[in-house]
Amino acid sequence: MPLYQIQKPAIAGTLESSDIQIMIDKNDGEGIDINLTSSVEHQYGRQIRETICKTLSNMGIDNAKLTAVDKGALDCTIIARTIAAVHRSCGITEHYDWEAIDSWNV
Amino acid sequence: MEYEIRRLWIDRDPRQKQLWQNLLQSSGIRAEAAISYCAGLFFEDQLVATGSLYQNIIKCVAVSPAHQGGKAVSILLSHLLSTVMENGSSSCYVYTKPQAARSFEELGFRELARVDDQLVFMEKAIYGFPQYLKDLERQRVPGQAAGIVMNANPFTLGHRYLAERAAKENETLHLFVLSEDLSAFPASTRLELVRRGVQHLPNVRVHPTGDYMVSAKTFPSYFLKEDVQVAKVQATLDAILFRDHIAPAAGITRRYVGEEPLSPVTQLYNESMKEVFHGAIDLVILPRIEQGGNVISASRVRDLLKRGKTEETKELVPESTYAYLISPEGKALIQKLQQEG
Repeated sequence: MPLYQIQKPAIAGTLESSDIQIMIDKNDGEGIDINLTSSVEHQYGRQIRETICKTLSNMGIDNAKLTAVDKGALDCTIIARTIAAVHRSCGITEHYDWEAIDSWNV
Repeated sequence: MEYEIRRLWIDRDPRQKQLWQNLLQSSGIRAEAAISYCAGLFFEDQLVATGSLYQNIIKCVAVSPAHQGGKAVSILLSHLLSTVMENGSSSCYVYTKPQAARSFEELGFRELARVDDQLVFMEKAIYGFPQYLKDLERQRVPGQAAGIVMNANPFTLGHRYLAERAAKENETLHLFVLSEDLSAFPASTRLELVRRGVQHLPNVRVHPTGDYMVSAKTFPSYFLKEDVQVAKVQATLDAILFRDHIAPAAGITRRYVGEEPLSPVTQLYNESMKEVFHGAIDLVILPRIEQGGNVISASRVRDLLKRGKTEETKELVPESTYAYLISPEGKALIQKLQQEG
C-alpha cells in the first residue's frame, strides 16, 4: 500500500494574489492530468505543471486529476498547496511525515 | 487592517440579516430564499462583501464599491469554494450576468451555457460537465434516439406511458431523472423507481441529470432584471444545455414531453423548448393519460398519500412504485409527507 492514496475530492490554497488554489481527485489509471488557469501561463505554465508533477511523484502518486488556479505563486507555495491537497484527499489529518515533507522542499 | 470572514446567520439573527440585505440592495441584487450557507467579509468590523451557497451553487455575491477590484472578492470566493469542497462536493456552480463571466473565468470557472445578454451558467470542477458528457457518449447507440427529462416524484403510469411511447417510436430512449434533492421523494429513490418502472423496455437508458438541470426552486434569479420572466430564462437555459451538449453527446434528435394544459409554468417551459430546439431537435408533446376522468400526475399521487389514501394510488402508479409505497421505507416516507402537510 503506498503511503498516499488519493481517495476523495479535496482543495487547498486560495485565489488570492501570490497563491495557487489546487483541487485534486482520483484519476484511475489515467496518469497525472492538470488543468491550469494562470495569468502567467505563457511564461510559467510549464514550470508550474512541472513543480506539481514533481511533488506528486515525490509522494508516490502516479494517478490524479487536478484543477489549479494560479495567482502568481512561488514554487514553495505550489509545493505546499500540492502537499496539503494530497493530505486532505487521503484523509490524513495527523501524524504527518515531516521528514519526508521537508525533503521535498528544495 | 485585515479582512475577516465570518458566517452570517441570516435566518436567526435579524440584525445580521438587515446588514446583509442592505449590502445586497446597494449592489442591485435581490435577496434569495434558497440559501444554505451565507458568508460575510468584514473590514474594520464593517460588512463589506457577502456571498452565499445553496448546496454547491454560489449565489448573491456582492462587494461594496470601495472594496471592488481588490482582494476582497478572491478571499470571499476562496472561502466559498473551500466550503463547497468540505461539504463533499467536487464541483461548484454559478449563474451570473454575462458582464461577470470574465472575473469568474479568472477564478477557474468555465462557461457551460448562456442565455443572450441575461445569464451565464458556469462550472468549476475537477471532472464536471466534460466528464458527464463523455459518460453519456459511451452510452450512445446508433439509430434514432429520443430523450425525456422527468422529476418522477414518484414515477406514475403517466411517466410510464410517455416512456413506452418514446421507446416504441425510437431505437433508443434516454431517460433523465432530476438529481436535485428538493422533492418529497429523495433523488436516489426517484431514480430507482424509474429504473424499476422501465425494466420491461430494453432500449431505455436511465441517467441522473447531475448538476445540469435545476428546478425553479433552486434556480438563482437575484441578478436578473425585475421585469424578466424568471421561469422563461430558466427554461431557455435548460433547453440550450440540452440542445448544444446533452442531446449531441447522446445522439438525441427528439424530445418527448407530456402536455400540461393546466400548468402555465410547464406550458411556458414547453414553449421555450420549442423556440430553442427550432430545427435542431423535434419536440413531441403527448397528451396525458387519464384515470377516473382526471389526468394522472405525480402531484395527484402525493396528494392521495398525504391524505392517507395509499391504496387509491394503485390505479395511478406501476406495480414497482406501489410495491415501494407499501414497503417499510415507503411507509416511513409517506408518514413524513403527512407530517409536513
